[in-house]
Amino acid sequence: MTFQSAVRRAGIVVAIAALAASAGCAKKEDGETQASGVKLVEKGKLTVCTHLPYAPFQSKDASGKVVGFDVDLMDLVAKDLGVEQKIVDTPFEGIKSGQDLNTGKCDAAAAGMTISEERQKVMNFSDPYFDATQAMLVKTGKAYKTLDDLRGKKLGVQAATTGRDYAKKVAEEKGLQLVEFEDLAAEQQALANGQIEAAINDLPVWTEYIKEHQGGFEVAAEFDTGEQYGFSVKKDGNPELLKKVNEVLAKAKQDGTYNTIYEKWIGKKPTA
Amino acid sequence: MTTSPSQPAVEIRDLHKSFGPLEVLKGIDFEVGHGEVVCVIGPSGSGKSTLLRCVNLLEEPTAGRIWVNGTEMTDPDVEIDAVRRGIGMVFQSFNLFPHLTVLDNLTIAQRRVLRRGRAEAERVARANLDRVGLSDKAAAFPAQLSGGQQQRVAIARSLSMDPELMLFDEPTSALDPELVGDVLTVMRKLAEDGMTMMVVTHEMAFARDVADRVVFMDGGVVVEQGPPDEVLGAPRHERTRSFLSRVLDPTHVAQLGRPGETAEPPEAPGLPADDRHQL
Amino acid sequence: MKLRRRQRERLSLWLQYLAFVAVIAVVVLAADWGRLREAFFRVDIIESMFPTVITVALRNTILYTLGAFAFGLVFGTILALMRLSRVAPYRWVATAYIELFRGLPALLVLFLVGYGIPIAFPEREIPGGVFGSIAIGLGLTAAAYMAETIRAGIQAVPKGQMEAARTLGMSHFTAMRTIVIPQAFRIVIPPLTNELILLTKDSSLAYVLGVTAQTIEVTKFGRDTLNDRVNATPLLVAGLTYLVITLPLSQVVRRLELRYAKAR
Repeated sequence: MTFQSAVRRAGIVVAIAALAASAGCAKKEDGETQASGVKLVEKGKLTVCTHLPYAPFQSKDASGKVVGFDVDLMDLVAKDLGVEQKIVDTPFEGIKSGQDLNTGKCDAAAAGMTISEERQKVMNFSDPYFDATQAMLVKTGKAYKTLDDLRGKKLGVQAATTGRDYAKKVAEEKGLQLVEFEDLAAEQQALANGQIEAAINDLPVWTEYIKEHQGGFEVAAEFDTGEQYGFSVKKDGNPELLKKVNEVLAKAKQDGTYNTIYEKWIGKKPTA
Repeated sequence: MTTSPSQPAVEIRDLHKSFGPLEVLKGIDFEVGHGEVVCVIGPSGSGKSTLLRCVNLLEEPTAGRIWVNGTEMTDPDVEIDAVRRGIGMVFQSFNLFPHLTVLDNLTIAQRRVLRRGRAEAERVARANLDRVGLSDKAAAFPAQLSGGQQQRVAIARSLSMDPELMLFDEPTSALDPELVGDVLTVMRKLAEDGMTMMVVTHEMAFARDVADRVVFMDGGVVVEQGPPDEVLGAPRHERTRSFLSRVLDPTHVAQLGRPGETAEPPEAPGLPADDRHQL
Repeated sequence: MKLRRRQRERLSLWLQYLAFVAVIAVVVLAADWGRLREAFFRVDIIESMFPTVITVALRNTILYTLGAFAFGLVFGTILALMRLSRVAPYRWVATAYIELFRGLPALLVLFLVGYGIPIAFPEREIPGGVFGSIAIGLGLTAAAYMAETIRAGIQAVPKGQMEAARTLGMSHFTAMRTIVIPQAFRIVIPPLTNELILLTKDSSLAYVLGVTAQTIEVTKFGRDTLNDRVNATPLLVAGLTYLVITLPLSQVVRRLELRYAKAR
């Protein structure tokens, strides 16, 4: 090997390394800007992060299409922007820690997510679009009426949900044994199997579940936690989109579209 | 030798053994009397090791019958584990249990098979280690011993089961030349003590000095057998002569090995004058 | 310009060092360390995780791992012996099992055990509750892998060992148990320790069965804390906690492999 070829070889190594480094560090594109001034991560698409299943807010229908309350509301936003909604199913952690929004995975999160102070530190929330009520589901015929009846018993919750946070707050006082499940389906199956005595989640979720399993389950108690759901966008990252979401929500509430969607998915009319 | 052949120690009748299409033993009739030392010699591939392994049923004969100490080994209902207790076997590659100490190598079968107590088993083991001159190696692991020492331990292991018959399958072939003597000495002592022995070997000096009878095998049959002086000293068959001259005078191999060509008149090959393992 | 061979080699080596250091430097300098620290290294959160991360989470991770390993080892040994059995149906069943469970994700198997068994036997419970379910659920998959390892180990024991044992009058079973299997296990200790490391990480799948504050393991504990604090620091703590187990184990494997190589 001559000196020249030694240099050439080393040069190739350096070049490859530099290429890799620059590729790894390449500045992320800021995405497409729509005519309305709203930035989107993918052209022509409103990309929305959620975690499935969470009926009636979002779940797959028989054909595999993601449908639900949140989906319909975000569709209104997408329609207003003149784009299509694209839904990404991703773990709760990424959504609720704000990372999915920060990293540009999604434009917005619509995951039946409660507006909380902690979360507001890492993302911007829209105006509330739903008053969350937590409820306790039991098998029909069980004598549990309140959380106090469950002392020493196993109570199922879903990881990273308001219901879980609520149950955790009172678990010690009421002597509850919390069993945490990764998703709603597992929580429901565990209740059906008798692995847990009762399960806490959002009331509409249980209403939907009872509809599908006639006679097997009933809501034993409801808890008004005073919490509200909101859509979210990247912290200080997309005020235009946030504004648009709020506009669409306000308009829908005014012209009755919101009520139609509410009745379609949740059932009873919002009391307001 | 005390041979009372009312019922021989080993009796083989019309033994055939095939591995697939390859017939290794082609009808062997053969006996070993009580207390007799029989050396089986022959070129590699002659079937001598297979014959030995058939005696304790390590190889299942294809046809024929075998009796050991009056028990028919080829009976399908034979309690094979029980019969094998009376038959010691020493392998070319020692086959000591490497995960056990020398002492445990000697006691494990006594305890598991003969149900001897620990003290009894260890007493027997130490006595046999002493017999092979390795009483100081009881605590060693096989890997710490030389090949010759390992083979002597293997002999002591077999002896600890109080066998009536000992089979030796080329016990010195895997050894460095300078270690062969120790093992042969042990075997010779064993023979002098009256053990019935069947030895497959290439050590012609051992066969001449120790064997009561030498059996020459070639091509899956017994070519000739008789007292060592006759078979080794004055072989009657051409194949025996040719084999012996190759073994005893290896430099002739090229000449004698050429097929279809008769070498110099094969005189009865004399045993080498300076045999390393003079026994 | 002509350089001598050794000069050329030294030059080439130095250029490679240089390139390597340059790449590392670029990556390190380009990262936003302030934001990283804010997202992954909040000392107050780290402090809040102790001692629970050790006394509960790590303890459970170790328990689940050992439970699954023990189940897998016993069952895997049985499968290995079935694979080598003279009884043909044993071989078929063992082979089918091994192929099936090596092809299934551990997550699915765990899910099937955790939710399928209660459906199939509504009146019965898996002994040991969550611990039992995880030990069995992960152990079923581990057993398939371990069976192949152990089978290879048994086959690596020279045939003469079995022959020597049999000529001493031992039954096949006794010879297997006292002579062959002990030697096979020495051979397979390094690969089995690797399996233990894999199981340590797989124990994080326990979350699919639903976990309580008492049965929580390291990964789930990290994810839960992340949700409570809305910060990713707990994931870093969880990761480091795993290394506390896995790094020493890797070292053990390396030592054993070295010793085994020497002993041969």
